[in-house]
Amino acid sequence: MLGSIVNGIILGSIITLGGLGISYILLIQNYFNFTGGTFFTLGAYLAFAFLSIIPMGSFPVVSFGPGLILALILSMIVLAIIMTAVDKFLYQPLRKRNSPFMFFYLTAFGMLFVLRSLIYLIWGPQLKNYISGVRKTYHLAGGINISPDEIFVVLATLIIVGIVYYFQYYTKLGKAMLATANDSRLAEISGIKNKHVHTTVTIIAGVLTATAGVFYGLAIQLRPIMGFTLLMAMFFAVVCGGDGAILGTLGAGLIIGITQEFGSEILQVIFDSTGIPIEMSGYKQVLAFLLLIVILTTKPHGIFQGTFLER
Amino acid sequence: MQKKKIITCITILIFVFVVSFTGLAKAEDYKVGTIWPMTGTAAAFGEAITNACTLVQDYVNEAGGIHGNELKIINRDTGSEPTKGVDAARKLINVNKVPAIVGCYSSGVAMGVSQGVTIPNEAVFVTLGTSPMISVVKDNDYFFRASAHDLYNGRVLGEAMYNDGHKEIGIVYVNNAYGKGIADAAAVTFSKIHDGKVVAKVPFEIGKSSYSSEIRRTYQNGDIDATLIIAYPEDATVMHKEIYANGWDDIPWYGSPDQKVPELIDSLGAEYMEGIVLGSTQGRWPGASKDSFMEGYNKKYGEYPPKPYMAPGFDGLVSVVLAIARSGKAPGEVTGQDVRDNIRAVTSEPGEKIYATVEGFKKAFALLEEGKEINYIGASGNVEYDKYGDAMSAIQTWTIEDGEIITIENIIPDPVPRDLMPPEYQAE
Amino acid sequence: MNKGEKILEVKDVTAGYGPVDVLFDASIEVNKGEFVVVIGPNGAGKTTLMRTIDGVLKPKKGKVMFNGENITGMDPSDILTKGISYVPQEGNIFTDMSVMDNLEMGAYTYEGDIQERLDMIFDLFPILKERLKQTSGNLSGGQRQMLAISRGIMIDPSLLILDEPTSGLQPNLVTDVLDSIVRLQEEEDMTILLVAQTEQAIPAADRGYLLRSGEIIFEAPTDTLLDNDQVMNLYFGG
Repeated sequence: MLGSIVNGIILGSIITLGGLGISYILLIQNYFNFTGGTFFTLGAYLAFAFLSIIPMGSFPVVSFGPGLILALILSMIVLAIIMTAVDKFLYQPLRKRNSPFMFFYLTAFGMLFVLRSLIYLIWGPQLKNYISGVRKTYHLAGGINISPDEIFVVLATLIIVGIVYYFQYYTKLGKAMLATANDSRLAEISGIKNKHVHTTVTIIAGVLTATAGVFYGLAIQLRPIMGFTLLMAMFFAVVCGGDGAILGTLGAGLIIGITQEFGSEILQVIFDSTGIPIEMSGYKQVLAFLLLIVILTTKPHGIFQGTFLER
Repeated sequence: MQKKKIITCITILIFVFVVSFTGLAKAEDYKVGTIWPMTGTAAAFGEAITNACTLVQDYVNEAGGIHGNELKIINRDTGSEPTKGVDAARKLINVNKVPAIVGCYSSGVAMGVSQGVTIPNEAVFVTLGTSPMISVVKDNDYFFRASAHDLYNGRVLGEAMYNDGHKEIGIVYVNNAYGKGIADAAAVTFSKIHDGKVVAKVPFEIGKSSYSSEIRRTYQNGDIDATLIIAYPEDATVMHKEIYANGWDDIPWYGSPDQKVPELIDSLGAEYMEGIVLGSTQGRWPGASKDSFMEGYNKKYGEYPPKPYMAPGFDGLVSVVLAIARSGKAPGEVTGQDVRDNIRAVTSEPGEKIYATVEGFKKAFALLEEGKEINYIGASGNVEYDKYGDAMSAIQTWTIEDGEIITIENIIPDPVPRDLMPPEYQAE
Repeated sequence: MNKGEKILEVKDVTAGYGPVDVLFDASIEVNKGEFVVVIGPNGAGKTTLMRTIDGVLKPKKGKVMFNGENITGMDPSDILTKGISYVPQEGNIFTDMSVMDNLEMGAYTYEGDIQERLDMIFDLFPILKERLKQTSGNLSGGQRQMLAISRGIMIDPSLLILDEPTSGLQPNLVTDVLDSIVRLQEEEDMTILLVAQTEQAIPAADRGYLLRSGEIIFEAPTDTLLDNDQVMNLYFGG
C-alpha cells in the first residue's frame, strides 16, 4: 500500500519536471505546448543516443554512472537548441503577426506528429533502456520497494525545483521573465528585451523537459510514446498548480502521481472486498481526470491558489 | 497561360492517379491484393512480409503462372491504422478489382477492413490477427485467418504450465482482445481441461509507468506456483522490475508471443531472463514449404525471414493463389466467391500434398487442370481452414538460455474447444 | 551639456496604426532641464506622439533626435539606455508583482547604485516604502501613479516622458503628483515631457504645445498658453 505512494511520488516528480517545462512556455508565450510531451521523449532518446558514444562509467550505490549525467547535459543542450529553433522558425513569426492562439495549438500539434515520426524513424518502436538488467532495490517497512535510481530521481527533482524557484523569484533575470509575463510592453520599455526572455524561457523549458525525459528513461524505460502518455498528467500539474506556479506544479504533480498509483490501489481493494468487478488498471488516468474536474470546479485557480507570478 | 499550366498539371495528376491505382497490370494477369503496414509502428514487418509475398509471385510466375497467366500482386499501405487500412482495401477492390486480399498485422485493423470493406463487397480477406473475435465475425465465410490464434497459444501455454506440475497460477494480461483471448484460453485449459487453479487473472492497461498493484494481485504475496505474463515487452519490463523488487523473481513465469524479442533480454539482462520457463508464438512447420520459404527468402534478400508471422502471411497468399487456380476462371472473371468456394479444397484432404516451390506450383496447376484435388501444406502449418475460417497453424514454444532465444519445438495443438470458452467466443 | 540646450527634437513625424495615420508632420522640441507639456483633447494623438518618441511605435515619416543622435525606429529598450524613460498612461506598473519588484524592474538596465535611487524615491514618495512587499495591483490610484513614476525614474533618465500621470486622481493627489514631478525637474535635473488632456499640469510646466487632430497648432510658454484663445476654447468651452 505504502509502496504505491512511493511509486506515485516517483511518477509525480517526473510529471512535475515535464509540467514545469510546459508551464514556462505557457507563462510567457501564453499557449499550452502540446509538443511538450514529445520533446520529453526526444530528450530521453537524445541522451540514449549520446550514451552510445559516451562510456557509462559507474557511481557508488546507483546503477548509472557519470556517463548518464554527461548525456543528460548534452541532451539538455541539444533539446534547448532544437526548441529554440522551433520557437524561432515556427512560433516567432506567429507572434509577430499576432496570430490567433488556435494557430499556436495547431502548430504545436503538427510538431508533435512530426517529432514523433522522427523518433520512430531514427530509433524505431522497440523499447530501450539506459541500463540493462534489473536494479538493486531497498526493501523498507510497509512494503516499500525503492531503487537507488528512483531515490536519485526524487531527490534530484526536489533540488531542481528548488533551483528553478530560486532563479525565478530571487534573480534579476527570473524576475524579468515574470515582468514580461505580466506586461510585455511595459517590460520592453523597462529595458527587458522580449526576444531574450523568449529565448531564456525556451532554454529553461528545454532543460527541464530533457531532465524529465531522462529521469523517466532512468526510472522506467524509453519508448516512443512515453511523453505522450504523460501529457495529460503534465497538463493536470500545470493547470492545478495554478497556471504554473512552481511549487504549485510540484504539489499538483505529486498529487496526480499519488492519485494514480495509490488512489487506484485503494479503490481496487475496496472494489475487491465488496465484490464489484471493476479493474482499476484501466482507470488510473480517469481517476486523475476526475480529480482535475473536481479541483477546477471547486478551486478554479488551482489547488494552491497562487499563480506563477504570485508564487 | 496560367490556365493552360493548371490544366496540364491536372491532366498529369489524373494520369498519375489512374496509373498508380490500376498498378499497370496487364489485362491477362491474375490480380491479388495485399495490405501491409509499410509505414507507422509496424513498418519493419510490412517490408519483410511484402518481400515474402513477392517471393510467392516469383515462384508462381516461374512455374509458368496460373494456367499460363501471370500472377500480379498489388500491395497497399495500411499505415498500421484502421482508417488507412480500410482505405487501402477499398481501393484494391474498387479500383484494382481484386477478388481477394491478404494482409493486416493487427486484429484491430483487420476487423475494420473486413467489416467495412471486404465482407460487404464479397471479397475474400485472409488476415494474420490473433484475436479469437476474428472467428466469430458474421462474414458469410469471406473472412479467413492464416495464423494461429489465441485459442492455440492459450492451449499451449496452459498445457505447458499444467504439465510442469504447477497447481496454482496467476495470469496478468494486456487488456485488449488479444491479451484477453490468450488469458481466457490459457485459464480454460488450466482449470477446465485440467484441474489446476487460476488464483488471479489481472488485466492491465498498456503504457503505465508502474504496475505494482497489478503485480501484487497477480502474485498473491508470492503464494503461487507460476505466472503467465501476457504483455508487450515494454510493459513486461516495467512489471519485472516490480516482481524483482518484491523478491518474486524465483517464481517461474511463462510468456506471450510478443516477448520473443531481444529487447527484453537487453533491458532485463540475460541472467534474469533465465527465469522464463517457456513462451509461445506463431510457429513454422517443418517441410518443403518452410524450406522453400526460408531458403528462397534468404537467397533473394540476403537474410532469413526476420519475423514469425511472415510464414502464415506467405501461406495465406499461396492458398488464395491455389483457390484462384482451382476455380478455373479466366483473369478478370475470378470473383471473391470463387476464391471462398475453393480455398478449403486446395488446403485440405483429399488431394495430393503440395508445397510452395516452383515445382510444387507447376504440379498443383497441372493437377487442377486435370480436375484432380490438391492439399497445400504450408510453411506455418497444415493450413486447412476450419469452419470459422481459421487455418490450422503451428505454435512454436521457445525459451531463453544464456541470453539467447531458443526454439523448443513447433507443434500443431488442438485449439481450446470453443464451447468451454466464455460466451463471447461462441459463434452465433 | 548645459541647461537650455536642445535635448529632444521631433521633426515632421507622421505616425499611426496600420493604414490609419493619427499624427501628421508633428514637430516638438524639448530643452535640457525644461518641463514641457503637450496638451490636447481626447484622440488628438498625444499618446501616439509619446509612443513614437519612445520607439514603441515606428514613425512612417520624420525623425526623432535625442542629444543630437538619430533614434528614429530604435527599440524601446535601446532608447531607454540612451536616457529616455517612458511612463505610459495604461499598463504602467507590473500589477502582479510587488512594489519592490516593480522598482527593481525599473532599474533593470541601471548600472549605478540601486539603493541610492531607492532612497531618492522613498524621499519623494514615502508611502511606497511602507508598501514594498505589497502586490502593486492592490495599490490605490494615487499610489499606483507614484509607483509608475518611480519605476520610470529608477534608471535616472535624462528625459522622463509622462503620459497623463494625473488622470483620474483626486484633486489633492493631482497637486501632490505634480509637485513631485516639479521636484524631479528641480532637484534631480530631469527633463520632463508630459502629455495631458486637462489643463491641470499647465501651471507647473515651463512651456507647452497644443496638439489637435494630429497636428501641433500652437506652442508657447505656459503663462501665455493659458491665455490663448484656442486653449481657452478647448478647456473652458468659451
